[in-house]
Amino acid sequence: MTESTRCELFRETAFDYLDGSLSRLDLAAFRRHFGECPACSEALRTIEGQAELLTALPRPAPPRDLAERVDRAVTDRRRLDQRPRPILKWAGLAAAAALLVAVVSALASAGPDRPRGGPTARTLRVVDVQLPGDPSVLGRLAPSYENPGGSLHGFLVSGPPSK
Amino acid sequence: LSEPSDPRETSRREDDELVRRARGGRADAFRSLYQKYQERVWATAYRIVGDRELASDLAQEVFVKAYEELTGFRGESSFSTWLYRIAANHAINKAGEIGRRTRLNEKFARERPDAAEPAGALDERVQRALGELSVKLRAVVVLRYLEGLSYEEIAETLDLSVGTVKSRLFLAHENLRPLLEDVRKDGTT
Repeated sequence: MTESTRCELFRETAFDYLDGSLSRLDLAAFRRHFGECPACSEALRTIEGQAELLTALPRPAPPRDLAERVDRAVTDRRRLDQRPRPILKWAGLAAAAALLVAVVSALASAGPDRPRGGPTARTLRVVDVQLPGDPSVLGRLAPSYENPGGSLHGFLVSGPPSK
Repeated sequence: LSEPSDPRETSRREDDELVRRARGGRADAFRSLYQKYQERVWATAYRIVGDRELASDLAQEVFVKAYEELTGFRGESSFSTWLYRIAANHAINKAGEIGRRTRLNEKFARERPDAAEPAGALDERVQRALGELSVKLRAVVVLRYLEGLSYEEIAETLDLSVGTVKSRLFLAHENLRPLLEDVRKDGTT
């Protein structure tokens, strides 16, 4: 075995030596080389000294607001999962619109004999459509009349109001 | 008489239980996990990127990513190794980006701890010396000596063989020699 091969083996086993995990045979070879090679013995002293120095360092203290920042980031991310997906939102809007149209149509179909309190320009208003538990407005339903204060003609559906 | 329990094994079992509950949608369980590990994740990022503010940003990103990927965590490694893998790779990538824009060791040299948390002279010397290492060597040193991971855990974290971990560590020690040989434990020269 050449000197450089022994040095290479030394490099490969230096950490096992320091951990005490070399076999008895390997340990003997390691020590023999360690005693004969000044460069390798110097390298081993360096490793031991630096390892001692580095492991003694305390973990650096994080900024005081770290916990709050991490908590906020994770909470914000979790909220994204809890919001209804757009397709569900539009399905909700469509269902709400269909229900409202059905109710008002039923009332409007009463014609001239409709009961008092039926849909007129005075009693029907613009309705914001929202999902239960969600304050955001998904869309608006507005009654449309043939003439001001006259009979109901239909409904206009619009998207969320602009901010 | 029962065997005294290994603290690492106890910690791992606790993590396994918290992960199981967090995957079941328990927000408090995931909160317990990040409260347990946030300082370690931050310290790892800080030692690798050399910037306290950036380390805080990285810590947030690491836990958001962990939250997103928790359902894919199959428990083949411990939760802590899995988390270190996300943190180390995130920090290594960020350090690489910074290194392409500026000399990272200049950043390490400028970085000072908070006024309220004065670090010792030794810590400052070590941090500057780490900034002189390539990010690949720095990551191995940080995980081994500052975070106390085993060679096997480092190999798993960085997706390397144990042999590569040891040869990188050996090279890191050689590179640190001129930077730290006059430093004693009290930080004086």
